[in-house]
Amino acid sequence: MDSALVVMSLGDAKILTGLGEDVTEITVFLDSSINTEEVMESLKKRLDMGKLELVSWKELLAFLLDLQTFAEVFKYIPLVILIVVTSLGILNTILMSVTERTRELGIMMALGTGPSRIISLIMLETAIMGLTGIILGVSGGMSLLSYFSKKGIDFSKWSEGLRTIPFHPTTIYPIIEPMSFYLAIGVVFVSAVVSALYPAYKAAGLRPMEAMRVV
Amino acid sequence: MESVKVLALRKVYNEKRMPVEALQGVDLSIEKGEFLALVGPSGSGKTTLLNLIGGLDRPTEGKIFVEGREITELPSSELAELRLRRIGFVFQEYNLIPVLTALENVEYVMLLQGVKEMDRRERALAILKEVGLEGMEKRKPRELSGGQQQRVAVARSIVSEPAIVLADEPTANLDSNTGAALLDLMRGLNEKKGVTFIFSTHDSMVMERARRIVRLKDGTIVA
Ligand SMILES: Nc1ncnc2c1ncn2[C@@H]1O[C@H](COP(=O)(O)OP(=O)(O)OP(=O)(O)O)[C@@H](O)[C@H]1O
Ligand SMILES: [Mg+2]
Repeated sequence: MDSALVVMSLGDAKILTGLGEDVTEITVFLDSSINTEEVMESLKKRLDMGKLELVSWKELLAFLLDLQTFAEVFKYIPLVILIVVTSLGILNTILMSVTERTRELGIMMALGTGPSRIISLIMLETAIMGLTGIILGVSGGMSLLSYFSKKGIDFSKWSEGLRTIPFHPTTIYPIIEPMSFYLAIGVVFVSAVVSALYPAYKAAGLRPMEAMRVV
Repeated sequence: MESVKVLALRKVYNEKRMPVEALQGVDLSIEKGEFLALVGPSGSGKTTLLNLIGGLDRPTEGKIFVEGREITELPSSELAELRLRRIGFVFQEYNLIPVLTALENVEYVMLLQGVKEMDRRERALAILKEVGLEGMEKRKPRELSGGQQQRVAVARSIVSEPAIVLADEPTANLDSNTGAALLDLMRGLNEKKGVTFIFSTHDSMVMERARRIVRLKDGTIVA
């Protein structure tokens, strides 16, 4: 028992509410939310609908449904942020590394390194950097996740809000959806490579004479 | 056939703001196997001429033929290929790659050319020994003196035995003995393999050994 919920025996509850042998509400838990409609239909057929009211969770907890659509849309916001941040970060890093090495690249070109070789060099560097980042990020993320999926994330501090949803646990055990996982990796890699194209072509277009004069 | 031929070559730097006429109509023909020194006061256009012959910069006017091929209109990828296969450079400021060791600097061109690693290593070690840098193969350019860096630069320019070596003041930072030894090395390559050498120099010792001297003054050939 706490300030929101009281657990007592059925007998005590009947006495306390004065309902005798009657029942106010029967809650049916289903294995999966997909079956809701089906179960509702078959219940409607079997029960005397004159006296009873049949309400699905979607109607009862309409706000939860809103929350769900909301979540669907919001799932893509981190993805967009991810693309923007990765692209800008990589662009900045590679541009810096090209600018810093202007003289070096000029020497390489003066010695006969062709433009296509300069482009592949910079793309390869970016790919290696991207992969290293992904490996570090994935292993870091995975270990955090596996820790929390065992221990759970305790939301009881913010439990007042969660209590309004009956039977919602205050501890959440995160799981990974493989799809969003691969999606994130793919997005990071592709935006890294795409944003390296500009610095790579810029470097390949350097004129060896001018580049070598840069200190 | 000429190794290098330039016709009515002009180069103007900074055309828009403060134009500097570095070369004002140079004609020069250099046969295969020549050992030639470009001499002239500072600012007379020696470096400019060498850079244009090597396709590192584009002339304002005129034509440049390298082994019979006109290069002023070539795309940068083909110029790079030409430098890689046919030309060795020694730059006035050495221009070694700072992150590579002396040995790796010498190997770099051969790496681009696709020479096998064993072969590459062997040739690079041999040439560094010839320029008197045995034991310094593992040093980075900043851990070498100016003269030592210059010798690495010379080693790099001749190691792949190019058809033409363009050397901008290759002995400027060397004492006369080391400079003479370096010149003997280049002369040997010139005689044995027919490599064309074009130097720029202020050094009377180099001029003595050159087989032909071309004098530049204010961007024109005077003798
Ligand atoms: N990148 C540049 N921009 C503008 N002017 C330049 C540039 N490079 C050279 N010049 C000018 O062109 C002229 C020829 O220069 P160059 O470097 O060819 O002379 P040099 O004969 O090699 O001299 P030094 O013996 O001092 O090396 C000089 O007046 C120089 O100031
Ligand atoms: Mg010069």
